[in-house]
Formats: sequence, C-alpha cells, structure tokens
Amino acid sequence: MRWMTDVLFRLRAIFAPGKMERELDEEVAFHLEMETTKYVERGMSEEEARRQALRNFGSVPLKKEHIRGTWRVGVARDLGGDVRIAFRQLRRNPTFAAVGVLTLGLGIGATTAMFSVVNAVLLRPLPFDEPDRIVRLRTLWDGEDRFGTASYPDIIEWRDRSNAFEDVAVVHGWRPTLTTDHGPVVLSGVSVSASYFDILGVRPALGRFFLREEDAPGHEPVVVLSHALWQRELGGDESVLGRSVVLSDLRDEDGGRSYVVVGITSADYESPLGATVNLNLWRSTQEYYTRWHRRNRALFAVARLRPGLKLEDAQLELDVLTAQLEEENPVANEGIGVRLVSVKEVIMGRVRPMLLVLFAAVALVLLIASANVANLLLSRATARRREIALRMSLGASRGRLVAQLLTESVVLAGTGAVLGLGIAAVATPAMLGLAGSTIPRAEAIHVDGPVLAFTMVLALLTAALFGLAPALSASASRLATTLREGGRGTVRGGSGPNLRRGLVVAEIAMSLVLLAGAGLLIRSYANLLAVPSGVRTEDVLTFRLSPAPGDVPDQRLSDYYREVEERLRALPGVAAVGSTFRLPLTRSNICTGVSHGVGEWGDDDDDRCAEYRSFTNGYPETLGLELVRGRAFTTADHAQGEGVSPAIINEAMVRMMFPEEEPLGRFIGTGIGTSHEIIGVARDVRIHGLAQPAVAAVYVPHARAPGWIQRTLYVTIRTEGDPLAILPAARRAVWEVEETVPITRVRTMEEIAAADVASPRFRTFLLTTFAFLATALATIGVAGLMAYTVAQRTPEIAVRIALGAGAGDVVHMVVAQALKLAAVGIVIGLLGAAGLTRLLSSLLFGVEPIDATTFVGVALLLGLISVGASYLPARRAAGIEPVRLLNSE
Amino acid sequence: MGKHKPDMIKGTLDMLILKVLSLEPIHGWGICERIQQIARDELQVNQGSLYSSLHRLSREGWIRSYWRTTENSRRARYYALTRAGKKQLGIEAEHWRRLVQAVTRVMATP
Repeated sequence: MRWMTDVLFRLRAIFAPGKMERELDEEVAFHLEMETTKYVERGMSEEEARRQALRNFGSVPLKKEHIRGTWRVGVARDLGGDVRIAFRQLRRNPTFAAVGVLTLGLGIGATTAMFSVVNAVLLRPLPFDEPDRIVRLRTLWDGEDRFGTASYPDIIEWRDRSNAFEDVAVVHGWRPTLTTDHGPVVLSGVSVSASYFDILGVRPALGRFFLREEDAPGHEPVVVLSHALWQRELGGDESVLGRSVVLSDLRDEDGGRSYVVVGITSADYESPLGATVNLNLWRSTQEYYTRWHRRNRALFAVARLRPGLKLEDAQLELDVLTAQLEEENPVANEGIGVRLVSVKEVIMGRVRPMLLVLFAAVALVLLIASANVANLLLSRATARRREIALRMSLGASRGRLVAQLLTESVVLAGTGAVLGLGIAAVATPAMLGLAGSTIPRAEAIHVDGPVLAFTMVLALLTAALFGLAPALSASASRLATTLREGGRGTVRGGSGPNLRRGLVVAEIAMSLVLLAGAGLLIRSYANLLAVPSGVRTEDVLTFRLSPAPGDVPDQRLSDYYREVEERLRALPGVAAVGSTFRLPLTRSNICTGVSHGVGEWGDDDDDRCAEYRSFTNGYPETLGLELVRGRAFTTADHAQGEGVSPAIINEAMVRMMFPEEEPLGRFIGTGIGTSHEIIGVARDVRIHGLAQPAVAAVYVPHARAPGWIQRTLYVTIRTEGDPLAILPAARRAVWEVEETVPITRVRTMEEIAAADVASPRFRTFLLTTFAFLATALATIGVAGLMAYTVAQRTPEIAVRIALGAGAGDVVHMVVAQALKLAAVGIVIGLLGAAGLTRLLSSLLFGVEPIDATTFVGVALLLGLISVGASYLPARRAAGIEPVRLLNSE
Repeated sequence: MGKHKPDMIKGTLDMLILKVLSLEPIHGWGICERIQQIARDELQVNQGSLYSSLHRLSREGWIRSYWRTTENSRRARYYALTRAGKKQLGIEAEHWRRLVQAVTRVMATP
C-alpha cells in the first residue's frame, strides 16, 4: 500500500508542480512567522526576531531546494540511472551484447522491412472517396473469370436495368503518340466516360475533370494529364490549362488531333484497375464504342455502388439481371455473367496472400530471435545471481530489480532495433529490386513515419517478450540459499532448464514450419521453370512498332514491314528476324471466338475462343515455332490477298475443336471476321506465361490479318551475341525506312521470360531467406542449450568419465539429448506445417500443400542440423578432466 | 527505510517526528517546538532538514498531511501519523533501543 502514496506523490509532482511550490512557500512562510512571533513574545523587536528566525531556519532557498529534492520524481531519475546501468552492462560484456544486438537486429530488421511493404501496399488507404463503394465489373464466361472485359451494350444494361449502381464508367486503353522536341513519344492512357473521376471521388490538382457534354461525339476533344507527365514534360507550368496538345493514335488519318488540356490529376492518384504502368492521359471517350457489337467485349467498367447497398446484395441483383439478359440474347450472352470486385481487391488482391504469408514468416523469425535472446538472458541471470541477491538483501525491492532488468532488456532491444532499422533501410530497396513490378503501389515503400513507429513498438514488445521471464526468474528470492552456496551457478532444478528447453523446442518447431513452406515454394518454382515455353528466349531482342496511318497508310503496311525486316536482317550480328502481332509469355490476350466452317456460327461455337496471332515470314526461325503436322507458311502465303487464308493451329486448339477429327484441310472462321484453312499444327507455346496452361491459338500470315492487327508489330531479332548490342544499329535501320515511327517496348526475350516468373521467384527467394535465417538462429539456440546443459551436468559427466566412459560415450550422450529435443520440436513443427501450409496453396505450382517428400526432407535436414549443432559442446564435454573438476567441488 | 542510504542523524530525526506525531497531529513548526521542548533544548533540530524529513516521510506513506486553520485563523499544513507510520515507529523504536543497549554494554566494559 505504501507504494500507492508514492505513485500519487509522483503524479502530483508531474501534473501540479506549481501548486506544490505554492504550498511549500506557504508552509515555510508560516514557520518563519511562528518563529518570529516566538522571539517577539520573548521581547525582541520585530526585525530582530525575524532575523533570528531566518538564522535558525538556515538559508531559505537552500532549504527549499533540499525539500524539493525529496520530491524529485524518481521515475526519471531511476529510469536515467537504469539506462546508464544497462549500457554499462552491455559494454562490460561485449560478446553477449554483440550476439544479442545482432540477433535482434536481424529479427527486427527483417520484420520492419516486411512491414514497410505491407504498410505501403495493403494498409495505406486508397486515394478514392469511400473506396469500399467502388467496384470493377468483370465479365464471367460460364462462371469463369477469364478476361474481365465487357461489351458496351452489356455495360449499359447493367447500369440502366439494375438498381445497384450510382453510376458506371467505361474505360478503354489508349496509346497515343505525343510529338515532343526529342522525337515521338508513345504514352499510356485511357479513354474514360465523363463520370469516371466522379465515381472515384478524386479531386484534380489543377483545373477540372470532364463534363457530361464532353462525352458527346463531335465535341471538342479534351484531355486530362497526369501529375507526373505535367511535371516532367511541361515543367509544372500552371498556364497549361486551356492549351492544346497534339496527340495521334492509330485511328487518326492525319497528323493527329488537338486536345485541350482541362485538368491535372493529383500526385497521389492511383488507377482503380490496378494498372502497373503509369498512366499519363485521360480523355473523354466520346462514346466511339457505342456502335460496338454486343459480342465485342473489350471495355473495362468501373462503378460506384448505390449508397447503403452491400456488395453481396449488388452481386445478387446483377446475377438476376444477367440471367435475364441471357434469355433475351441467347447467342451473344450465352453463359455470360458479371462479377463485382471491390477496387481494393483489384489493386491488392493478387499480392495480398503472398505478402501476408511473408509477413507471418518474418514474425516467426523474430520470435525465434527473441527466444534465443531470452535464453541468453537466462544464462546471464544465472551468472548474476549473487549480485542480485546481494542487492536485494541491501533493500532493493523486487519490483525495482525487475524494472531495472527490464530496462536492460529494453536497451538491448532498442539497440537491436537501431541496427534493425539500418538493415531494413538497405534490405527494402534490395527486396523491391527483386520484386520488379510484381508489387503494386510500390512507389510508397520506404522506411517512413508509420514504419518507425512500428519498429519502436516492436522493440518494446520484443523486450517484454524475451526479458520478462529472465527478469522474474532472476529476482526470485531465494537469497539465503544463493548466498550460502557462494553463488556458484550450479543450482539445479527450478524453472531455468525447462524454460530453456521449451524455448529451443519452440524454435525448432517454428524453423521446421518455415523450412517446409520454403521447400514447397522451391519445388513449385522448379516445376514452373521446367515447363517448356515453346519459344526461344536466349539472344532475342524485341521491340514494338505501331506506325500511324499518317506515317504509313494501310496499303503500304506490308511493304513497310518487309523493308524494315530486310534492313534488320542485313545488320552484322543478326541471325534471324521475324515479327508477330503479340509476343508469347506476355499474357496479352486477343481471344476470339472460332467457328467450324466459314461464316457459319453454330450453337456450340460461342464459348470457345482462341488466341489470334499473326506473324511474318522470318518468325518461326527467330523465336521458334515447332510444327508437328502439316506444313509451314510459304512465301506465297505471306503475300497480301483476299478471302480465306491459310492458318496454323496449335495442339491445344486441336484438343478444343477437333478432338476426334483430322484438322488439316478444315475451315474455321473467327469472331474478328476472318476465315482460314488449316494447313498445319504447331506445338503448344505458353502464350500466357509458364504458369498458365497452354491455350488454343490460331496463327496466320501477318499480311493476311485484318488491317488493325497488321498495324502493330513486335519485331523479334535473333542475334549472335548480346542482343542489346545491336539496338542502336537496329534503331537506325528502322528509322531509315520511316523516321517518324516510334520504337517502343524494347526488351530482350530473356527479360520477358524473367518477368513472367518474377512473382514466384520473389516469394520463393524471400521465404527461403527467412527459413534460412530461422534455421541459423535455431541452430545457435540448440548449440547454446547444449553448452548450458553440459555445464550443468559437468559433475555428472566427470564422474562418468572417471568411471571409465570414453569420449564417444559422452558425445553420444549429449548428441542423443539434443536429438531427443529436436525430435519433439520436429514433430510439433510437422503438425504445425501440416495445418499451416494450406495457406500457401494459391502460391504453389505442381505440388500439394502437404507433400510427403518435402516434409520428410526438411525434418531430416533439421535433425541433422541439430546433431551438428550439439557436436561441438559434446566434444568439449568429452574433454572434461574429472580429477580437476572433482577436486574443485 | 529501504531505498535511501541509512543516515544516522536523518534516521533519528525521522523517529522523533513519528513519535511526536503519535501524540497528536500538528504542523511542522509545532513538531519543531515540541521536540525541543521535550528534549529540554538539548537537541538542536535543523529546521530546514525537518521539513525535508516531513516531506520524505509523507512520500513513504508513514505520515500524511492536510491543510487546516490554526486557532489564530492562519492556514497551516498539519501532519498526522498513518497506520503504517505507527508500525514503523514501533520498529524504529525497537532498533533504537537495541542500539542503545549495545552501545551501553560496550561502553560499560572496564
């Protein structure tokens, strides 16, 4: 109870020092008055009496200071003292300090780095107004979410015939060319409905967004620029509003159209569609798509839900509507549904599982690190028993001691946290470099305010975690016994050994879980890389050409490309040149319906679609396209012509459309409006990346493809050396033919292939690193525990040796003990892994979450490591000299 | 007396204060006068130190203070013994008695 008055005192000293001061003045004044009165009553004059009183009291300011001294709020003084003591302890025991700080630094650093990612990507609020109300509408094909884009008539009916939305906006890709002083620049943009920015609830940095009337066809074209573009190309000049920029795209016949700039987006704007490319331009659609057919599903749709309506209920409403639409349009809407996805899910949904798994993994690493430090502190506590017992006998309360020991833990954790911050500051950019563009919203990932706060809280929690038990156990009062024993650390029993063993077993279990996860991811990654892509990826340079009609009119297109390819072929170091409409492994999809026969669409043709790809003569030789049946295209096939053109289909398409029949010689039609005769069958190519199954594909000669497909071409160049070395010469060759055509998307096939597996590579690398860290820490834990055990059992071992036990027997005994502990940890870990690895299932490829080989493998690995870790202490145990030891007993 | 360095003079003053307050609650000046009275002026109380002791003893929880008006209608801080203080007084009195006994024995040896 006494401590309560103390606490109240301290509170008063902190919160009302002025009052205490005034009361002190009054009290002293009263005293002096009474003394004075006393002397006056004895006959002195007022003045003399006063002087006498002052003399008796002593120097008033000095005495008051003494009194204030009793007030001094011990918290600060105690705390300051404790911190100084703690630092002194660390300095006096550099090994202990180094190991502790390093261990904690690694644990806290890794956790902080992951948190900075999680914070920026998952926790940071989206820049929209009420983001939970914003959804993307994705088309479902027979219940499957494949492409997500929708058709204009569908979107209008979803908006008008359901009550689910406040408004719906249409979004479509736009890639105009801006002519700048340094040549033509191709920019990424979108065409959007006027309501788009209202739906998002964002505000412009400058100017305004679109008005309804600007959506009407024939209205003067207007454009909104991105903050980044405005700063970069226009120098942040505020007078840009109202000015015009000339932008041309593939639809424009002449030099392009003039757009009036009406606004600039804010610097923190983000795309609700999760675009990883930085969008620079928005223009009003002017509804050029209004005449598009119901089956032309190429538009993105974004909507704001009606206030108060929940997503699930909106989904139900839409399901009812799509069923109706299916009835009304049996051909165009068969099997078509719609799925509402919240904008949060669109942007973060893909990476959330991976990031959460990685964060949980790093938390385990931190726990293991804390367990190691706790064990370290327990050892130190044993060594300091005498000192602590002495202090307690001198009157230190248990609370005071625990507070001081905890302060030591906090100082240790704090120093570790400082190191950890340094590690995180270095590791985070490295991590991001590895991730490439697989992590959305990555531009905000750095060690900032919230991350620092997190680190501080983490340090405190960690200190409490590893410091509490040792502090409590160290201050447990068995003074008499300790002092009598002379304080040698041979106290047996008690909470010490069991606690340590428990910690090490826990460490082993957690390491096993991480190793199992890492093992599964490694196997997945290996499986992924083992998938044959079907194309050549070494030494191939690619870039994209898309000349505007103003530069190369339709009739001249084939000649243009032929000329470009010829010039490129003539360059030194070039082995082969070919071009294609879209590159493999890039996930672009131009999936078009295919029908048996020319121009006739049967009932069962509708839900089949195949990727439409065209290529020029040299392509098979450059990237590789293996034929399994029939023949390749001849030069004649590649000439321009009308009517039915030859086509090569792939094995997947054969499985889809001609499972029983012979495809060669058959005719097919496509939703694009072309018709073809099948002349060959090619081996599957992973068009959508290694992780996706092979899709059906139709290959046609480029010159026979529709005009809008012909206009864009990815040129591929197989080189004899480093593909990037010929880039300057290639640029020159292209521009010699037509200098206004921009060259974009320069990449090597290796880069493309690497980008395809970037996400699995990232998470596998990271989880493996964490598993490795955890195992290393656990190994140290095992070694430490064995060393401690040997020290504890030294007398017993000495006796055994004296009685004739050999070195081998002693080693065997120690290692067996380690192995028993490890076994318990491994079993617990296996159970944990069996339960937890299912959280990885979305990240696995070709392997089940509970995979016997992996689990057995990591169990054996950890067992071996535990044996290895206990070996050194075991050997030292074997070297104990019994005589010397027994003498000192 | 736990955390503070055992100081003979200070310790004794504490005990005297507790004793005086065990008789009746009084203000600081009153304690001063009372000690000097009872000790027949043989003890010179360091007045400033007295107040340090009073504040410290308050903090320890052995005495408590409150403001009151005196008979002369002046406001003064009064101190009173708490239950814990009463116990502490007993403990310290016992220590003192034993100390005095021991010293006396030593001095009595021829």
